[in-house]
Amino acid sequence: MRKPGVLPVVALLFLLVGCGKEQSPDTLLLAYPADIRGFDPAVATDFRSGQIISLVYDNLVRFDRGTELVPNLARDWEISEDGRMYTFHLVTRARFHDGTPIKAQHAVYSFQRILDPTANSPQSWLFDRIEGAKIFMEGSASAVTGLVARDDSTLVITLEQPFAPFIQYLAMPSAAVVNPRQVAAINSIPAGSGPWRLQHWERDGELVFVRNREYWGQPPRLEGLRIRILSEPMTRSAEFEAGNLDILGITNMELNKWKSQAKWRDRIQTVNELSIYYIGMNCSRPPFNDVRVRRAMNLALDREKILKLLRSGSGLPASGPVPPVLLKGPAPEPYPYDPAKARRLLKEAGYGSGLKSRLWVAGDAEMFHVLEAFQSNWSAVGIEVELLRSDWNVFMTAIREGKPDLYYLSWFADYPDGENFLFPLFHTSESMRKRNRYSNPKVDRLIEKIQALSNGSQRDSLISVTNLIIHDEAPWVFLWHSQSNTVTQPWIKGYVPRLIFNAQRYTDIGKQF
Amino acid sequence: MVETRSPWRVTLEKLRHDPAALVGLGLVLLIVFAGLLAPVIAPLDPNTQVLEFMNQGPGFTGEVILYRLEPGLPVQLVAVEELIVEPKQVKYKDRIGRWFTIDKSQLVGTRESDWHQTFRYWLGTDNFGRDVFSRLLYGARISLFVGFSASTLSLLLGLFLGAVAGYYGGWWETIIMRFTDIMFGFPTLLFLIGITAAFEPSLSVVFFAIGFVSWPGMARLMRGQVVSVKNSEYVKAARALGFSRRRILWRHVVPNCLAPVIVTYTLGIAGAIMAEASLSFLGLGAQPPTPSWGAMINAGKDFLRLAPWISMIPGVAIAITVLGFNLLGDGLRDALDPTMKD
Repeated sequence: MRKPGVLPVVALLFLLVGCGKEQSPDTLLLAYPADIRGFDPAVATDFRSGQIISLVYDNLVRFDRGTELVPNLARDWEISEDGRMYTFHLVTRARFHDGTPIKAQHAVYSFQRILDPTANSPQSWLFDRIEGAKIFMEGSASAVTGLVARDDSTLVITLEQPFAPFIQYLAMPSAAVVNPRQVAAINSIPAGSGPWRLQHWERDGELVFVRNREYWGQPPRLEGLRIRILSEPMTRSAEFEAGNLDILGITNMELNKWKSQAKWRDRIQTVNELSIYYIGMNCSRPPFNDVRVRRAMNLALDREKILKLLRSGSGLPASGPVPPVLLKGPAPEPYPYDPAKARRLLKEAGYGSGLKSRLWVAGDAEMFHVLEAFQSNWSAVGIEVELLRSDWNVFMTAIREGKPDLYYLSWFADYPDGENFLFPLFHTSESMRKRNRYSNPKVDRLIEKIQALSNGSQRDSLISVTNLIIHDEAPWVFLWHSQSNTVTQPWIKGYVPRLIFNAQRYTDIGKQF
Repeated sequence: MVETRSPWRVTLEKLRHDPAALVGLGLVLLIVFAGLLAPVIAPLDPNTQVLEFMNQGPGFTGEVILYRLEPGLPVQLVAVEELIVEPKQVKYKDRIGRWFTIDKSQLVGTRESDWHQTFRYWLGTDNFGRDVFSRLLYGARISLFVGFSASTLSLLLGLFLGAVAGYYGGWWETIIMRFTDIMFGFPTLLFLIGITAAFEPSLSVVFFAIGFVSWPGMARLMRGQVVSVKNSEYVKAARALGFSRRRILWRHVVPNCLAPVIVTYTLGIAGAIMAEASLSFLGLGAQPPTPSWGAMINAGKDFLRLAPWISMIPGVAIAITVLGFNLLGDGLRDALDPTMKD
């Protein structure tokens, strides 16, 4: 159905954004909703900085299109019987952008840089399980004993304890290998060896990259890559329709509109992201220290309908933290929409006369566009929730300090492992310090066991069990595991969406008019 | 006998012959009544959502049942696909194919026509399936509340400071007027954003902020008026009679300065309504789900390609209201000016 009045508005938009199509047969044109923080891997904790860092840096290993690790700077590697010692054999022809050959010593330098107490990196947790890392971090040792370059092309890493996810850590943005000669201005000029070189960065404007011709691996097919910062979703859509963008991440609000157009329908690619959207509830104080209230919060929410209508059905209703793709054992059913039961639980918990709370939120428009539906669902059972929208940094600090009773947030996998949805979010040492103050000794013991085990059925079943316990204890309102939808122009060849956020390097994409 | 007419009567008489001013007055009255009568006129509660009806255009009709879990809890509207009425309960299938059961005691009213209704959404629905018309009516209350209260606050502050500065002169004047100049130096919207951002966003912060930011114009105007009046014959006469300075200022000088102040006040209301809408648009004013016009425009901006009416309708409402107050203010200026003859 064509809705009245849409056409003139769209026409006006085109006028506003300019009519000319950019002629750039050799440059890939993209848009991001916000700028990156910088090019320093040591401080890259956010999604977008991580994506960009993978364009200009190399790691020892990377993720492929799916969940498998593939060689990058390390052409192969061995793990010792006891699971503590990792030996990496590096490629010999790799060079940094300034021409310096990459050696195992550079990896040692890069990892120590993250651990260096003076660097104050928020990512030191990646490497603090390496033997001698803790002493080094205290400043009482000049080097990390478990981090050794045996020769120019052999790196040996020894861990204190066996820790199965470690090798996946090495594919994360902060584990990039940096060039010590270029670290002085690393935040604005990348010091890496990746397939793209930075040409120009205009803050909040655009990032322009050119092909690294001397790239030691497979160089990009296209000459250039231009990423514009366009914060308004509507501007991005209009620019894509005008042909000024090659690939567009479709917002959930607009998904059905795109799907309804024959021109674009077949050019949309959907990926089940390794993610969970949730409402964190502070479990350390009333009212959410009572599991009945937390379950009522889950039961009162019609996640299925909200997901289907407000997010165009783009996702799967969540029953627990671990996404179904990473769950190899039994998964619980999502909490059903049962306001009457929610009401009963609230009365049992002594909140029959009502309950007031406050939900903190930050982030982009898409995050915000579902909240009033939550508000309305909860108010139907007598839970009045006020929304408090704040700046991202204020928001994250408040969560770390345990201020909000309720907060709306999402978690995207750093690496494809159920453990990544358990330890950083629910282990007492993390949750009590940084998150929603959930603590359960039984869950802690299970998570520690999972971390020590190497991949196998025992580990899989422990992940399922832990996921079930967390579902039952409901420290969160589990919302959904999201999907991403991208649409490409007809002239784009070879674009394949990736499962892990920093696996996309845009090297195999070409343009054919 | 000489017929005497009070200045107010003269003003009213002049206004009656000014078509633009009458249109302005009409628009203002329209908005005022819309706001006052919102609970009577609005077909639906402004915050009631029917997600299935989201982003539907003006004139859309939808069939719903009305129920609440318990007395005292908010009424819920659900869109039904199929309905089975049983003696003690009703069963319904929702749009995504799930069956739910509602006890008859939970339904609103007793007859089926009470709880099973079809609503027409005259101005369409927003992105949560709420009635845009009802939200618009309730939004008029917010706009008018902020418009009048902020403008009144700025009137009181400006009038007092301007009168004191103009009448007493000397140091008082220097201090007050230099402070006014400083206040003028700040870009208004930026200043407003600064104040509201420092507090937790709410409507009361917004109206105080607008009031505190917009008084300098009033103060300057008032000072000028007082200076021009304070040496006139009747003030000298009052002084000769031995009246106190305070009495002369508030009983004789100020009332004779009010005509232009009223004009500024009227135009100030329009300014305050715009300021509230701007702040709410930026997320610093009314918080969701409060149906402020500015907040409605903001909520609709991401749906401009899908449902342009969500933003456009409150935009038109703001334009009409501001136009109304401006026309009325202009008319009043002409009518209150004794040098303008009809």
